[in-house]
Amino acid sequence: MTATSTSNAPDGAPQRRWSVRDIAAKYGILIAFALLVIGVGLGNDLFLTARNWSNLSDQSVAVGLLAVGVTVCIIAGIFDLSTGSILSVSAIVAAQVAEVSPAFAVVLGIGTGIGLGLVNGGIMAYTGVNSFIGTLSTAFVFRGIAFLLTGGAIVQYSSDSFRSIGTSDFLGLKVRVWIFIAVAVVLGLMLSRTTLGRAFYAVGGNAEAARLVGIRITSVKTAAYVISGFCAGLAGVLTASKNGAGSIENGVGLELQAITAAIVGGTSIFGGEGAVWRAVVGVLFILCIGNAFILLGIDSEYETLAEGVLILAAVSLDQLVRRRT
Amino acid sequence: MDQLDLPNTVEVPAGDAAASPAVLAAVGLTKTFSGISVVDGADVTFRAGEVHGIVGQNGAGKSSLMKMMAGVYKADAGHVDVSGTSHVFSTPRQARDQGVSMVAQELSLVPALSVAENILLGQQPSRASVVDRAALRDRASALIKDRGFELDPDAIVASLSASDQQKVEILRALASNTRLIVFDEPTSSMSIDDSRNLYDIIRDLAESGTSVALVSHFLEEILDVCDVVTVMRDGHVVVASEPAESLSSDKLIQYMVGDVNVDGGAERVKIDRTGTPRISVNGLTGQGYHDVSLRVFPCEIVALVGLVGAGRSEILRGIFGVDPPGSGTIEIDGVQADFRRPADAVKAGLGMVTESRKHDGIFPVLATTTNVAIGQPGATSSGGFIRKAFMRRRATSVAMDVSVHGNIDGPIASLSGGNQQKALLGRWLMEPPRLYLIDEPTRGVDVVSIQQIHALLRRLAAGGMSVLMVTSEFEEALAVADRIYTVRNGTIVLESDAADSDKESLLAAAFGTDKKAAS
Ligand SMILES: Nc1ncnc2c1ncn2[C@@H]1O[C@H](COP(=O)(O)OP(=O)(O)OP(=O)(O)O)[C@@H](O)[C@H]1O
Ligand SMILES: [Mg+2]
Repeated sequence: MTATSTSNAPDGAPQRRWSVRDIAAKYGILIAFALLVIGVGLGNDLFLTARNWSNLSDQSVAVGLLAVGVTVCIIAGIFDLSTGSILSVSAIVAAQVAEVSPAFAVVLGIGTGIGLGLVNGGIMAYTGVNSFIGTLSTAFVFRGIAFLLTGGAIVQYSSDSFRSIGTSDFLGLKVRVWIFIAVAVVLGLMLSRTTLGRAFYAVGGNAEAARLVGIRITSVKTAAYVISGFCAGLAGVLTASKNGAGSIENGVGLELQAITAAIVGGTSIFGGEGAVWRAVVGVLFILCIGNAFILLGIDSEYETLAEGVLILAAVSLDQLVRRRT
Repeated sequence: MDQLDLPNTVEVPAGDAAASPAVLAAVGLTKTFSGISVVDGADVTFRAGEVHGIVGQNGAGKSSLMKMMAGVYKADAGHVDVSGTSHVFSTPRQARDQGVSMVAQELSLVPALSVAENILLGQQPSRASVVDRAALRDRASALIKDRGFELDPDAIVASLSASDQQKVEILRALASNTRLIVFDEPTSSMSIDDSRNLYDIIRDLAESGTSVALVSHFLEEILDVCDVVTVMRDGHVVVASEPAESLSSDKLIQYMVGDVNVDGGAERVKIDRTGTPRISVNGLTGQGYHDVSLRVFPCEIVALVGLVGAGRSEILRGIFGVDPPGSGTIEIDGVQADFRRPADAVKAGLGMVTESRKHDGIFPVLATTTNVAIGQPGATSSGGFIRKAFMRRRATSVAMDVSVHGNIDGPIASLSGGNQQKALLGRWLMEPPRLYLIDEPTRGVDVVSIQQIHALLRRLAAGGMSVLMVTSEFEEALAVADRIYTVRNGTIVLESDAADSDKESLLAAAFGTDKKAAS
């Protein structure tokens, strides 16, 4: 309609130039991650070896699964602080059944995760309790269940076939790493390509607007808890398989690491914004810091402190480039 | 087309506003977002005691220019001249220190705080860095009294009506020593009385020597209230400080759009009111309305008019299941409907746009295309998978239909206010719904786009869609609707054919001063 329009072309093809700032805002965490990798790589020859990265990737499986699951929750505007506990219950259930049937152990372990996710969703929907305090409570309840199941003892088993599930190698990586990658890819596609995925963003971005366009908010939130529970259950099964045992010590504090990773990766803590790949980068970022300490031979007394400072630096950098107008 | 303000000041009869010195001036202000220039070298002079109107189409850059004046955005180039010294504001605080305050397009109060606290937000009187509550209350009361407002300084802002909240916002802008106060579309959601009041306040402000900038799409009101008018188009100032006496609405529209023909409205189709109504509401009663019975037929556009607070929005929300009604029946195409939640209404082929786009309309960080497509996921997905390219194409064409200007692949929050509103209207138009409920379809939309939207609604109605809309603009109801219900105190008091009614009779019914409505 306006003949002289230089920018706001109404034909829907805005002549858009990507500025450095846009790219920095969107991929700031990747830049920070690349700097970290290059820096540590220059400082130690062992860092950038296939062996080290195969090792790092193996460490990323459990926390990574929790992180991608909780990313879905955070995008939908809710927290899940119970994932570490769910992991533990699932690991114990799997270990208890592994002797009888490895396949059954897998199914039951994952099923436990999904079931506990449903419990979370049901409780939040029914009581209307805030997700932060609600899942903080169920985290205690679930860990309590784990204690009741075991009496505090470690549940060991001796099924070689269950042990071998994630432990064998495939194309240079452990099978459990491939499983993690597969879950991350599927969840990533679900979020970015499906109407269900879009509903998570909508509910987290503006819940009342979501309700008004016909999205059932409680169902969507419950779905988020179930996905997070599934991921935690799978992480529990793989942990039990890796350790040859399940225990109430599994996954302690891991839910916070997972949330940290998701946020470090750039998923907005306020909901409505984020992506699965961000959780993966966040996990690798945090693991690399720990790895660097070992490889560079720095006194590990400083590790926790430095980890905190570096995470803060990464998040601040991200905020800085985003906030600038 | 470009005019300097120098010749204008010469043309103005001597003795009034033009003679007063420039208090503040925008000099070459420029702003670019993501490589797109939204304000380009704007020069505007604001004089003491003058009300300065700023008009332009949605997305022309009015709000962005004002935000640079008020330090909300930092200018990429240019500066603000304050009695001879140059400033580039990077925070609202800096602008306020130089005497520039702004009443934003979207209200920005802290709902949980009291009126007094909101008025003096950021400048609370304090002793040893503890807020001095008594002094705070006293100063706020004094400010309220100065302006002749009736406001309780201790009331919590969340409990106030929209127009009282607006007053708080104005008082906040005036709390510091203000030389220029900027109003960005202050009356778009006000009742008739409230906006009259506001214009009185604005004139008072100008008389007391303050300089006022007023952004609005109500051209008649602009011409009425302002001394001079500046017109913006595509980020440029195309007419600067033209005296209002020498302008007319038509002239303003011409400046706003350039040399483009504006297409007129579409004609009405004959409506068959003998068949089954698209919607038939009987004795609907709920929070804020009672005994509402109405019908809308296929191809028909029906408007609910009345005063702000008459219960019109509540009726729409009741029908759509946002706040399910207490009693009464609703039939859609002859079938009993009982929508307990919006999802039920959507499933039955209804769509709805509410009046508060920020609160329950937009998904601010999602792309405009996604915001448009999200209402009708079935139209652009198969088997639950979004067909991205197709979705973008469809959303783009719908956005064009409702004349959205701006980068529609970016977050909707980065569109101008009016363009967000248009995008929301497009939300249900991928596959026109059977019945479209619209609350204030053109709030904040520029005059040219309003005509396009009206024409679009008429076209869609001709194709079979029914529309039930709420509007506070009686002219809008008369221009676009086939039939009009006037609502007063929560119930329908008058049903009239748009063709043979006029604004006066509707207003009389809305105020309850006519005999027909009273009986
Ligand atoms: N924060 C932002 N990021 C990106 N683009 C923006 C931002 N703010 C405004 N714009 C763009 O700048 C242009 C001008 O917007 P502005 O809000 O100034 O228009 P306006 O004249 O006030 O329109 P309206 O009448 O609809 O309020 C629009 O194309 C808008 O999309
Ligand atoms: Mg604006």
